[in-house]
Amino acid sequence: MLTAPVMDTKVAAGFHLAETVIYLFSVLFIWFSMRAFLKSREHQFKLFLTFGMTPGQLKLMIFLEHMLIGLIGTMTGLTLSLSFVKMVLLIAENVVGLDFRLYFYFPMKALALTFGAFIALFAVLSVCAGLFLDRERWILFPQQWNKQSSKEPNASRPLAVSAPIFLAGGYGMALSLPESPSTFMIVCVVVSEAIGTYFLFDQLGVCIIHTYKRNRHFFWRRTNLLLLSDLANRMKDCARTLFMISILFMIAMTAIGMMAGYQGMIKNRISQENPFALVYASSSGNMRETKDVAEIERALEEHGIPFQRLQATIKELPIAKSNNSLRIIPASEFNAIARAAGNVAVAPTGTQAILVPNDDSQGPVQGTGGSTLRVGLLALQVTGVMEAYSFPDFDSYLVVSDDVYALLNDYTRKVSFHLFDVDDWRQTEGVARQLKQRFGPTGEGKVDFTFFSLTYTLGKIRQVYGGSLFALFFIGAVFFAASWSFLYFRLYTNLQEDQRKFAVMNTIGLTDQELSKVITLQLILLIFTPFFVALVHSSFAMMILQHAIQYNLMKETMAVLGAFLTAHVFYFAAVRSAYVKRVKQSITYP
Amino acid sequence: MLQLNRLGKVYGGSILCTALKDIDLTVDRGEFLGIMGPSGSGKTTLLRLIAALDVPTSGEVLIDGRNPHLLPRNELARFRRRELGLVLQDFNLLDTMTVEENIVMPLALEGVQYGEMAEKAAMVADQLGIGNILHKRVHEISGGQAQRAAIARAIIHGPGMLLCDEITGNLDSKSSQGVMEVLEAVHQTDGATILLVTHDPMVASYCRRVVFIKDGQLYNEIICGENRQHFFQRIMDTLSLMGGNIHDRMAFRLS
Repeated sequence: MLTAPVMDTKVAAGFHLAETVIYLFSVLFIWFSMRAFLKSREHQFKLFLTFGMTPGQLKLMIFLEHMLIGLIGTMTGLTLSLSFVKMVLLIAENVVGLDFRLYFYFPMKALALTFGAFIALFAVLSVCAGLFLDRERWILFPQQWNKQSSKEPNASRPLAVSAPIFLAGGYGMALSLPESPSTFMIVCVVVSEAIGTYFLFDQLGVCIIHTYKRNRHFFWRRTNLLLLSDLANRMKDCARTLFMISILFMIAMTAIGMMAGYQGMIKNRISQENPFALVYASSSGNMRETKDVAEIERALEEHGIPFQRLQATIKELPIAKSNNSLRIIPASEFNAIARAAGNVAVAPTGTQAILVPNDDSQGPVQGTGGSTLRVGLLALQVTGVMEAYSFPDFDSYLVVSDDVYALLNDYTRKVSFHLFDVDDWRQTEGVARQLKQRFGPTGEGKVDFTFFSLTYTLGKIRQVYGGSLFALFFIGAVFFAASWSFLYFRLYTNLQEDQRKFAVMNTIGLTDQELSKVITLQLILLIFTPFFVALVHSSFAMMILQHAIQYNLMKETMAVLGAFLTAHVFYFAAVRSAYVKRVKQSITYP
Repeated sequence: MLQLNRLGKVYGGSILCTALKDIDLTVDRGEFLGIMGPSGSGKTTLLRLIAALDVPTSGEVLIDGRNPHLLPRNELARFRRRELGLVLQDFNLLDTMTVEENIVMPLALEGVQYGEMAEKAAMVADQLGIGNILHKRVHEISGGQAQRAAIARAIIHGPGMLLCDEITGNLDSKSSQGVMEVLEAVHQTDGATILLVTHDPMVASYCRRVVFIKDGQLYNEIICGENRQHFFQRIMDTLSLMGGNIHDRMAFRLS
């Protein structure tokens, strides 16, 4: 439905996948609701047939009814979605942190495609629903008495036991995946998890309820009798839907989790690798250095941001008999910076040098602990390697003692860094923007100074990833909404049954508390079971993602899953109170 | 045991419909009372008012001197499951449970110990002749068995009063007879007070006393003498005097 030219292919593929999955789920959703709708009207159909309606006429009636419903539904859906689009765009701008506006537009093509796809879907499904009626006996013998059978649902023990085996096996496989797994392996993991989840609901769930039922001291205790005897039936009935709902929830959670994870990672990496909010780097010969630094200080003071300015001067020297050059910093300056950045101080003596490598650089001294480097007249012993982030976007460098540093005077270039350390780098956003405008574009080698701002860089990176993050957010939101409506629908197919059950219970005498206790427990089990299954699955997916991107996603995972859980609790509360109200209404006594 | 004072019920809506008008009735402890009348005469309404499943528009119901309609909702529910037993035409059994589970429901809700429940269920089931189907599910048993199970559920907690509404309405004559014999036995052995609403003279002939309702008002009452055959004949006579469409549905059977 979305084929905007600005989208890069990966994002577009993601959207197409989501689109397909949503369409498939809609097919199932509409199919199930159609069947349930027809089932609830069976009595009416039987009457029509008894009074001489032909099966053909009945099917035509069903077809026309569903087409009408489909038409109205699709139109309403499209109208609503148009008003939702703007809302989703607004939320997305804020959640993802986009600078540019996501403009609302009137997607003619998307509307036409959606309309066509869903009308076709309704047409095909209502014809199928009509054909399915032929399998029912009552289409030929409408008044034949058939007993409603509600047998005790059975579950096979081996299949029930296989549920955790499949789940654990899938997780095990996922954990032992090599760096670049083949499609086959991924499919194996997914299929194993899917089978495990299905059996979890269809077999293990029923089995567990049976175990409780077998303990009659427990089963016969007060409302347990009412709750458990129905639950086993319902679990079995719902297994397919609960399975689908947990898959939907899982996709939603994983998508949003990934979004938050990537966002957190980007933010964290950058702020970790750049402990200083603002950095002004100046090559020797820059005339405006003093003026610019004073300006930065003044701007920070104006905004009332306390800061500490640190300074370091790096000398660049050629390595003897080589085309490469070395960057060298004195220990005293390094230690001051290291302390401010929360790194370990070093104390090289004599001709010792400590190498501070940079992740991205493929410099001449990459990982050369224990080697000797000849610089001018001196031979530097690289005695240690340490990870430290102090300068933005800079090559590897060596830390030497101040005395040695003073001796190295045949440098080709000297760069002095002014690092501004503030307590909370997020506060510097305004200052940074102001200064950035003031200094104009830097870098690119044509100017002899660079100005770096953490907030500005982060913002830039966000815009680059914005599209993908938005796609993930969107997919997550859509799938979450879908699973909620699935669940809601599923619960309401049981409403009639429950209304009858509680009407019977009312004649025996059931207090309001007992009624809402039974309904609440029943709803808790049906609403939260698929949710928690999805929670476990998606936590696991996040763990694998964490492994893949080498970044601790604990915080983001917790935040996202916590938000989902909160939303779900509210959903549960709303559904529960509506459901209790509907059941109570049906009991004739005021 | 039960006293009705000028009990009246008017169904609201766009057209007002008087279902019951100034019913005065006293039922003694241990009585087996039949309530008869043509369709639409208000017998079921009367039973629903006694069971407090509906509210009267005038008058009062006193069960052992207490008016259930003045009880708060929850108290009423507890009152109903301690003091009353209700058996309805369509059995009202929960079909996701076994017969035994259905029967012990009132006790379970009261929090009775498991051992006691199982014991009582076995006892009641034996009394009603359904001991062999306790572990079957509701859809596996016949109508007569289902109605006996419903009676078992209604008497397991030893209620002061058993209210039966057209309990043979869905049964064939043989099953009806079986159910009525069981009910009679319950009345004799437990000494329970039983109120039975029916339009079937054969069923009514099991009662000790029958009151007739016509158009929401008490019409007549007759008391059983020594002979049930004779009592049946007198019920028939009263019904034909009453007129109405009761003859359409009357079943001439007696054994």
